[in-house]
Amino acid sequence: MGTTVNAQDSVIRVIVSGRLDTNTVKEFEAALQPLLVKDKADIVLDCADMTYISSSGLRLFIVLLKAVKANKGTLTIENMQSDVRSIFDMTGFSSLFTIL
Amino acid sequence: MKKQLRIHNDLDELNKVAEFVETIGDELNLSLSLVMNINLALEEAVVNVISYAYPNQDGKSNIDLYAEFCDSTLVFTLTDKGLAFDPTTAPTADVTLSIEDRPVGGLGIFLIRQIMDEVSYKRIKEENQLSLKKKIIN
Repeated sequence: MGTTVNAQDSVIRVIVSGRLDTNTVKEFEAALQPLLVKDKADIVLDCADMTYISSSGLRLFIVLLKAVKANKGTLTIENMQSDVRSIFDMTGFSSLFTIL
Repeated sequence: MKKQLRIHNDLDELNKVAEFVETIGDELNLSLSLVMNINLALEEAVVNVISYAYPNQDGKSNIDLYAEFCDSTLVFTLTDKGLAFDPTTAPTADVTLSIEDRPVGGLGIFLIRQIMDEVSYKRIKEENQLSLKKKIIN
């Protein structure tokens, strides 16, 4: 699992790769921490290489979305793989997030 | 097909669960999507046991995972000797709530129920036995 955060222009691009499970979620959580307090941030989560997500990963997606809304920013998910997307559909996340 | 895996109640053991499911997926020629979903249901079940069944324990306890494929049904049985916990009676997560009203957690058992066709629990002789069944349609 890997998380890379790139801030270019006004958009913060977070590239998530590999398996986001109960063991690997700590690294993702650490990478997200600075983003939870950013004011009016436009954040893109690029999930092209994210192959798996469990409830511990889903929890962090919710934490991030709540923080972004509270800080009046935007959050967009891009390039999600179909199997991961099916988990978002199953849990109602697809209607909460902007997924491109 | 019958298979068995014994792990300790340690989150580092989760990789073994993933490998166990992948091996079964290869043997039964299951789709990658199905293998991922089954892996997810088992991860959630195992993590529940590791996180909550042994709150006051110093040493390592075992969690046993049995898999059997019979009559087009894949059955996983998860057993542990931790605190009694019946996930089948846990309240169902409301996945229609808005982001403002959504709790951040509570999706683990929901995912197990969604992915598996049947989830049942027994407490027998100080042991939790969780059975997860999935019909395999070719």
